[in-house]
Amino acid sequence: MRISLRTDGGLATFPGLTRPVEVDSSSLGADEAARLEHLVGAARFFARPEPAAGPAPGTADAMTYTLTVDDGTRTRTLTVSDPLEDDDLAALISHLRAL
Amino acid sequence: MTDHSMPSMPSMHSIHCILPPHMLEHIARTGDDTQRERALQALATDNTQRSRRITRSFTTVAPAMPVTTPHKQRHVHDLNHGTNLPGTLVRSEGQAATGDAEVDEAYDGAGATFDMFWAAYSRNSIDNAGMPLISSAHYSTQYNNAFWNGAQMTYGDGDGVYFNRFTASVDVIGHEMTHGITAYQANLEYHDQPGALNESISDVFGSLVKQFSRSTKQTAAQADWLIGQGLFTSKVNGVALRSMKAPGTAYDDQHLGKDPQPAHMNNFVHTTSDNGGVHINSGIPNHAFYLLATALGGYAWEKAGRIWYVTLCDPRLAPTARFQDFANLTVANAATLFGPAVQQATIDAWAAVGISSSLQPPKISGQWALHYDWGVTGRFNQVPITFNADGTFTGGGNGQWQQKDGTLMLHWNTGPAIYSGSLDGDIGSGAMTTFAGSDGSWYLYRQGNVGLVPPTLEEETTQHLDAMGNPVTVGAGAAGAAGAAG
Ligand SMILES: [Zn+2]
Repeated sequence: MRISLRTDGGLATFPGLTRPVEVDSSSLGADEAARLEHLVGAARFFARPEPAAGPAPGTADAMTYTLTVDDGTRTRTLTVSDPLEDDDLAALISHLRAL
Repeated sequence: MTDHSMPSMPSMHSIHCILPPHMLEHIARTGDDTQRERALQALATDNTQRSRRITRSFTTVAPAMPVTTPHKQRHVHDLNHGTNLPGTLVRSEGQAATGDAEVDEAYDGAGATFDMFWAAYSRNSIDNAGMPLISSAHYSTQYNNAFWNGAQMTYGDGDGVYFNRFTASVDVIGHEMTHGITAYQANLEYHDQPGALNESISDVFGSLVKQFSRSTKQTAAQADWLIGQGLFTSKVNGVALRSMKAPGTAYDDQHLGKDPQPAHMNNFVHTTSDNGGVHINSGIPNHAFYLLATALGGYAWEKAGRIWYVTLCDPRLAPTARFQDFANLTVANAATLFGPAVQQATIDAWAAVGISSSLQPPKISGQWALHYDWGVTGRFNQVPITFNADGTFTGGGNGQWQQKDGTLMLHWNTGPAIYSGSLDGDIGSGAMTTFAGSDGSWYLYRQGNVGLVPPTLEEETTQHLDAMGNPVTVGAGAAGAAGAAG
């Protein structure tokens, strides 16, 4: 499973942080790979309805997250913004950001 | 309108109502003896009284401020690392500190922001109607950000490696809350130049909150003009998120990169990320504000901040406003609020960041006094004249006006005469236009330093005065007069 996370926006723009986070679970240890796959599964990444594009009107300084997951048979890209309303998706994003 | 005093000459009253100079000349010079005598007598009646009344009508255009009691009502919630706003309420207005630094800083910072806007601009909370101030702390995990979601403020803890908690800097709290105020006023669109203006306005007032809330208030010269000073850990080579004093110099770090903010239009950054660089190009208007505030000296919220605040609340500021539009309005409002010297300083501040706000005078608008004589020694008069945005004028007669290249032309509906004169000085602070011809002279003036106020306010207080200085209703009488006199 390959995952990429690109983060845009926020209170300040840091050029050094614009690079996407990219992970290939095959390069992770078994525990780490299992944890990542569990987070993707818990977030029902491939089953989620298409979210609204961009932050809600009136929002300022929110971050926008573009997530792409390729599980070997399917590829999907989702774009979501703060405030994240789904705890499972938020957990996946937090995990990726901390990698 | 009462005509009892002159039952035999209904048109005379109408003359008093409208009084275009060329008609006056015409009647005073070519009317029969009775008309001439009545015209001169009536028009010269009690000019002192009339003048005073006109003066009053110009100096009472400011709207009466409603008596307001500030309503500071803070609520801070704890998300406990979740992301579903607002989380658990942990501190409400008047309650003791919780001991959770992020919660307590969110509480104190919202209070400091409320206090600055109330003390400096009589603004009663985000909506100017006492709206509760809602904040949430501990958003998500290791979250390096703070945001406004359209209804409340939200803060992250930071990752602890490069960033501390985002409540650590009071100007960041002021920044977020100002986004709410902007949404209630100009509602600037959050992309490209309007978005960068939106961002800059949050930085400006965020910084003013910091300067105001110090135990010893800071002058423009004493302030550091940094946004987010204290958010970086010692691991970062940088002092803050942004610098209004020197955009582009706030950090230069191996991990974070280099502060990308420009300070001048020559370095405007074209990008599709960050909603078109809203947090990047905000450096340009940020620096203009810094330059003005330091040029004017003293407490920045008093003059520069007031100009920005009045502009933010100015109905002429469109949601799609670009830097140029905002600059032009600050220049106009600077004159209205503080006169020509501060206006020039405002023009200079924008010019220094590459935005040349036109030195051409703004279009004349609203209510003025038209003073004229008609070539008879000692005879003069003055009437209110209102310049409407659609190119018509009313009050001292009806007609069309045109302003081009510093020249004002007036064309009364009642005849072919066109009066033109050059506009001298600054319209906002009381320009005068003069015309001197063989048949007399006229000029326009505003009393003192009143300056322009929004036309909608003026229309409510427009008073038409008859020869005795009594208010009259303009309508059928004026129209009849135009016919009778023409
Ligand atoms: Zn912002």
